[in-house]
Amino acid sequence: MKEYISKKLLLLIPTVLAITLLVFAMMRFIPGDPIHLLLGDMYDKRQADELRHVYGLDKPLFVQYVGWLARLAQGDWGQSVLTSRPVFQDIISRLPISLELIVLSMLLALLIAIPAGVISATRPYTVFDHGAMTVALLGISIPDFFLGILLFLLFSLTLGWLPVQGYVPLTSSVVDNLRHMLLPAVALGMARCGILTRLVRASLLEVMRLDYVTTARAKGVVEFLVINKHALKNALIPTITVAGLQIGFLLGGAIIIEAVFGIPGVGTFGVQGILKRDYQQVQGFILIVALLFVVSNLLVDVSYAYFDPRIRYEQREK
Amino acid sequence: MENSQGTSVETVAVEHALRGATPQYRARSMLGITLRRLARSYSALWGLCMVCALLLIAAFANFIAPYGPAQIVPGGGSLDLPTWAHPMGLDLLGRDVFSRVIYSSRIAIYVGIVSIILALPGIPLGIVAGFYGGRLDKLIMAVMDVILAFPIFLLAIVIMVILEPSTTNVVIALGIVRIPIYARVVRGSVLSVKENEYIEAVRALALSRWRVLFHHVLPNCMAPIIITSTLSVATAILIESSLSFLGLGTQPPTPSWGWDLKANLVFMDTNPWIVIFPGLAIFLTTLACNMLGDGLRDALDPRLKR
Repeated sequence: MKEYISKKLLLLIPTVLAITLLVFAMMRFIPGDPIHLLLGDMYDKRQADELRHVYGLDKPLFVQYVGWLARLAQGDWGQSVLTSRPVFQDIISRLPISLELIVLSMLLALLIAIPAGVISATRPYTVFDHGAMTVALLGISIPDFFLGILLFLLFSLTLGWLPVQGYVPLTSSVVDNLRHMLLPAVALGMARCGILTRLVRASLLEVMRLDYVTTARAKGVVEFLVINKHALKNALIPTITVAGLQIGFLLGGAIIIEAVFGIPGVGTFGVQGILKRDYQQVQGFILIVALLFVVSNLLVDVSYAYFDPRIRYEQREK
Repeated sequence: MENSQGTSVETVAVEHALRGATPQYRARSMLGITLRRLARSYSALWGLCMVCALLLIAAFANFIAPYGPAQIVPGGGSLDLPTWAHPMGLDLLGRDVFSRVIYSSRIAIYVGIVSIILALPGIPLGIVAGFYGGRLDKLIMAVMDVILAFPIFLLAIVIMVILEPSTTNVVIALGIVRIPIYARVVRGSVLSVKENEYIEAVRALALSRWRVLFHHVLPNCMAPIIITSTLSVATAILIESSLSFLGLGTQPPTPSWGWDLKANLVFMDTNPWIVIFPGLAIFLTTLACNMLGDGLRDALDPRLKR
């Protein structure tokens, strides 16, 4: 197990480097010369050359890249042109908020998908099954921001049960925090829930046909345990894979949901930066999202080892 | 005995038989079987109808929509609730929302179809990778994996930051992002087909590699390609509307569902309908593509063959 994890951690390094390379390249590809933008009307060739030298823009690209990388590692992610605050600080303060949204959405999705999938698989082609699959299909098709808007329309504007916008930190009040996060988490999680429900149902149906399930039943194991302990553990393997892949979609969706519900997370930070052409903000945003993605993939890979003992033993045999 | 093309008659006959296209099987062509199985599923038929309806609406938007997409309705009015004259109400500038929604379907179809076409280079990449294997395979797949390693939406945003936001650039971004998916899917098909004995048989007949690829390997990959394409259209429309919602996609005055949603959002308490209808349009389009894609997947599933 330890070898497996350490191998995965080692692979992390080239992946992260590739991401930084991509972001660096992206920043250089953006049309427009930053010095031009900075000086505007007062553009003067001599001054421009001086500034280029000061910012290190006249050095070869590779040197610029290494310098930039070193600054990143030290926590200097640049300064936002709009707010004049260090980008790193803003991102760190907003990160927990986005993380909470993402984790809540995933939890909600799994909490609904797994039981629904199990019930669908154990009672196939019944009303529940058809209903669940229909709801799943609807969940996959509806754009998450539209669902968010509809929920918001219904629960906040019309019924007034839940607050309209904004965010309350966990530290001030857990209940208020959850009240604010509930609709966004539901909106974000529903599409994932749809995909996962269908997957749990399909994998469970496959697994239930296998011989070892029949053996368990023949041994006299209670049906509930046969399904939920023996069959489910194997059925969850593809589910975990897909859930891991879904995290990417969650990260993307969180950007929009934050915009809809006015949650001050990393997503709104990035969108503001993009719309106002504040490239330092954009750079920080893309870096953090890509890093989050890589880390979450790592966690999924590690959880694989827990769910599928074959992976652990394969490593040991080597 | 050789005919004018230099292949012997016997070879052609054997090849023909291997393809199962001899006269007594012609009535059961792949297309016929697929369509028949598709027709057995209600949701698939619904999906097909809705997709056809969408295509018709987009094609005949001029005739269906009472006003132009940017036309300010005579008689004034702003943020009006739906009436018989304006079934979906008016937006802030006094434009008929119904007409805008109709015209936006053109953008959706354009984005869906063209992004698929731009992603088609993934197919030859996948075929080459799967067929030749070895280092070429590893190289191609490594490049594909790097692109796939990023969340699609993030990659689309990055590309839109570099290129100026516009519908064309959205389509380019979506196409690029989709290439690895096609490559992956096709490669998987090719790998599974490669092992089949009939490929060995055909190659033993000393047919050229190209012939083998196009006439024998490719038809077997068509099923996953079709399914992926249908489902990709749904994703493409969703991503385009998400990007337009953020202001990074289709720019005004071109009408787009996502943009309209965003623009009308602030007026939701006055008139929620102008937000609901564009969103509903996106939802129904995506739903149609998903239902059709699901139906196609079930109809083309080789495991269900008699």
